[in-house]
Amino acid sequence: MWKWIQRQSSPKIFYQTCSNLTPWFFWPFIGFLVIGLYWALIVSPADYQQGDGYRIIFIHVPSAILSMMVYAIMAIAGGIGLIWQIKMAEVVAKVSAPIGAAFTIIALVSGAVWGKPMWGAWWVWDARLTSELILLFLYLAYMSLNNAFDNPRTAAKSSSILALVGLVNLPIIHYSVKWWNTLHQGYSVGTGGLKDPDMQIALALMFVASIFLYALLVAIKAKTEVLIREQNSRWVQEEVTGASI
Amino acid sequence: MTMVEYFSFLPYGKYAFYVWLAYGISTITVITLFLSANRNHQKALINLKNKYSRK
Amino acid sequence: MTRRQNRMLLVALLLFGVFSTGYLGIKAFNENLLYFYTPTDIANGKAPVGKSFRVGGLVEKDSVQRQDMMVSFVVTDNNKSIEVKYTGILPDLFREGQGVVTSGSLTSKCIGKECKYTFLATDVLAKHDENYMPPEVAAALKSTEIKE
Repeated sequence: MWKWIQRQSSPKIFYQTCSNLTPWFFWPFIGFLVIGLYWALIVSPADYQQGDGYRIIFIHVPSAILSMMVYAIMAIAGGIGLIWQIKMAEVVAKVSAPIGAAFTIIALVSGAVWGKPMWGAWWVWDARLTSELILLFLYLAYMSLNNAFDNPRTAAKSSSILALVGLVNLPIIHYSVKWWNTLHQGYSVGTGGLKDPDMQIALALMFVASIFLYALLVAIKAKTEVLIREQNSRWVQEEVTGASI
Repeated sequence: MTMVEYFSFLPYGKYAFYVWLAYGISTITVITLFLSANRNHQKALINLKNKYSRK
Repeated sequence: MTRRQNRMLLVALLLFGVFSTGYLGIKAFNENLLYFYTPTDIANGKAPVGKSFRVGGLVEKDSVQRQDMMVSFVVTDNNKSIEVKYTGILPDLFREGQGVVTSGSLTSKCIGKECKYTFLATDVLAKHDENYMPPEVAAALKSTEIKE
């Protein structure tokens, strides 16, 4: 196991693994997305209170879960990079940040567009919405800190510490609807809040599609990052020029 | 006529504006992310190629 | 201790420190993080009287009365309740038996020793629950509830 990890974490093997996996992430993403959208927009019935307006849930909930999951992955990969000094973990952490920030933005914007017709407000400062907004700021702070250093190792070290500190926000987001009175409703996922099987299938499909999307984007962005970091090594030169020297 | 009424000819009637706005913004964000990731990779390849050929 | 174990310990200490600070911070600011007060909070004198604040709960059945643009209804948390007066447009999801969060301030009318509190709302937001289902399922659930 340890040997396998060490082998995978060599930049060259990592780059090749990412290249090989890209189509295996891309096509399932497209597949799950198309079937998921069909289920979300056509198969699922209208809600008894919100009519067709509730359909925003199928992008809001997956992107909100992903926004937290990607942050956890980013912080853990950063922590692994700090402790075991695995460079490829640093790469995964770094390239995850903009993807996670995008998921957070989708969650916030889709939530606002949903809140306007249902609650009667685009935005309220309740605990759930505020803590999710803080998550976006954490991503942005991580990204700017990572770009503030010329040396990628120093950048990874300081930004990983920031990511680990920000980890405290995740349970706050998750439990905010339970700990405090919020305008945001409680958990629908995992508590049987979605009573209709077609609604559950649509949400599950969109969630799996989001995971493949994240994996796909990490694979592409990680390749770019590895190329730039390892530009002085021989294998990158061979990879880029397409010829052995 | 408000935007909400204007778009009510679409599926989902009075919620059409909100639903399609949310799906639209998300689609644009995802496509932008994917294209920019690919473009950055191509750019990195070209930059490195130029750098190696200068040597 | 190897250098790696040293780093591991540092990361563990960092996480421990951050989470305990977070826990203490949340305990300290618990009150400020509430988005609204319940009618029970008001009855217990926890709500800030004289300042504007928010009240949340369910709109009591058969309590909604309309007079032109003025609406009055009772917000309850199934324990205590309070009368709310509001002038303006209500959100789509405003219904009897559904959740609502209103912001405004408390007024009291006292006749002798009896005081009656009314909440003058400047803003009404609907709060929906976490359940989503087609109308047939909702109807079926309701009929079984009545049978029970």
